[in-house]
Amino acid sequence: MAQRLSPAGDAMANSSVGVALAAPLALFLFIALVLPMLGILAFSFIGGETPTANYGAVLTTPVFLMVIARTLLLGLIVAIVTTLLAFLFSLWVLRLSAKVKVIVVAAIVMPFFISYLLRALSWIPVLGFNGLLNNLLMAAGLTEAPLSLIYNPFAVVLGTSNALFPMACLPLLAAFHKVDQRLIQAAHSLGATSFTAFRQVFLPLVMPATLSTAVMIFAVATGFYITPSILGGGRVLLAPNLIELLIHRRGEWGTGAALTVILLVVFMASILLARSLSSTRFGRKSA
Amino acid sequence: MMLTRRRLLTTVGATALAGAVSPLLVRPALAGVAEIVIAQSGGLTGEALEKAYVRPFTEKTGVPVRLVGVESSTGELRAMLQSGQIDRHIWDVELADVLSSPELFEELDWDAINPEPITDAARHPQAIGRHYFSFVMAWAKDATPIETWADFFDTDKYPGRRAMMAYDAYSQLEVALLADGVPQDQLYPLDVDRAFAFLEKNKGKVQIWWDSGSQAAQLLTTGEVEYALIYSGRVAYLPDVGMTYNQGLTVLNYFAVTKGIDAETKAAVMAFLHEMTVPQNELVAIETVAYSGPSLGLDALLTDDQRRLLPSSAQNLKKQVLIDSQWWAAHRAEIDARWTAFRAAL
Repeated sequence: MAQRLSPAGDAMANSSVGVALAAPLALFLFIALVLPMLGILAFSFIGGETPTANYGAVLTTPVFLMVIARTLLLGLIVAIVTTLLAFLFSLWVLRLSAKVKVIVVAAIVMPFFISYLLRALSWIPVLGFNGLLNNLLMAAGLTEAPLSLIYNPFAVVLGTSNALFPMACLPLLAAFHKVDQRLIQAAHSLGATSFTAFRQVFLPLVMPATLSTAVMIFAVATGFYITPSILGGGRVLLAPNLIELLIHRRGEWGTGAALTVILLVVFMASILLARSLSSTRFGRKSA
Repeated sequence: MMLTRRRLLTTVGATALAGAVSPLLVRPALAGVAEIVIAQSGGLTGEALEKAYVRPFTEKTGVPVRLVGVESSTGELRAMLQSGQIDRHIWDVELADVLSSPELFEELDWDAINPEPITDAARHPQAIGRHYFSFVMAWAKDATPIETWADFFDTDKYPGRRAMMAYDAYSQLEVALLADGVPQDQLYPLDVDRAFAFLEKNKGKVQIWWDSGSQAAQLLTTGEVEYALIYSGRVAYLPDVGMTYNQGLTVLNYFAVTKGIDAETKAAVMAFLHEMTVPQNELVAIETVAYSGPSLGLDALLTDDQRRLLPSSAQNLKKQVLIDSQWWAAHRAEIDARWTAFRAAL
């Protein structure tokens, strides 16, 4: 008779193997992520007359606060727009045949191989003053002078959403496909309309994934600085651009680091707020 | 194998011989220098640097020179010195940078550089003049040529889109004051409030604020804007883009050396800097980019066509304003803060 390990022993053996396997990644993350963050934190305390002088300078400068607010607002708009569009797109993909699905998903993944810089630059020949769309509109007589389609905040939202769309699609596609279709069928058999089935069965099941996707997009979007730099025409100054200006171009490490830390704190507070709101609405109400 | 007396004598003799001969084979003084690294702004000026100065230097001394890109010399130099590891030796700087942060730069050994005759402005205890460049007004192929900065902001007479520089107020305050009517010889000390007031009032006329010289040139060549403030070297040789040195802002760009480099590397660097004062080398540089070095012997080697295109030829110098580096060094901090506020509200 084969000897069976006790369940407890099984679990313990698995967890220690798990820890060993995860250790290299943890070490890498520590070196590549945690240490630089600690470095930034350390830098934020130097350079001023007192350790907190940099923070004081950032928090009392209206310009910096305005830039942070603007960054968070644009991040929020991008998160909502991108998640919504990815949601609708994923719903559509759900209904496709398996073969077509593969092609579509491959098409979604391909932009990951193209840098954000190129994706932002590619808008210029299309929407620029001397771009395709403006030239068509002028040739058709619909407008006298070229329209200012890019080099404004709208273009930044458009470009960022477009760049992050694939990133939002993948987790949503995964979550949608995990939903057991028989639950929807059961709802129909109990007399629910398609819309009711969607609202009461499907939506609650995918809502956690949708919210975490939105939060992820918000995180990435607030860190974008190439796309705002190119598509904003230098007129949309966001926090990452400002930090780059301070640290890279002016060598003002203390102020730049303080701004970084403040942005990070505000950002994490927004995430916690969003999560606490979503848990009260969806956590306790689940059946 | 056994250590015989023959083996011992052969080995010792060979070593002694090698020791005696090697100083004759290896270049003295620069023998131990692995390479010199120059942090510079790249693009055409980097190419010119490579062809005109690096090549003759490496041929003469055997020391390789590597060019790396940099966006902000003082920022990156400060970071490098803080890290304690010196891997860049020469920096592309404005004189204003050297004047405001002298602690970052090494004292130059002018005896070791032993320059060919150069202008006085190019000789500074901590920096050597590299080339004159200008901020000029330029226009796209189909745009009407303009003559003054007042024209640049006159969208009625000269319709079209404009572009200016996003990351620095340097030269742009001067442009604003010139456009507002301040005579060229009364610019300094700059009336900063007046300059910012003018920019606030007219910022709607500038559609794009560019982040790099190459982006600026592309805006003009692809027709995204009709008029732009731009580095003269980016447009002087372009057939499709028009420019004028009229009311240009010119400044001598410098090379400075990292503080605290070891003596051997410093000797190599001084030898390199000598190459930058040789008129024949500067002539080669001009063929790549329209920026002229400070060598006094250069003008004799130029053709009339070249003189027309260079910022520092006599005919062009008198049309332009020389940027006052002392003033900028003194007011950098406050201007930077104001410029950030201006940019955030664009």
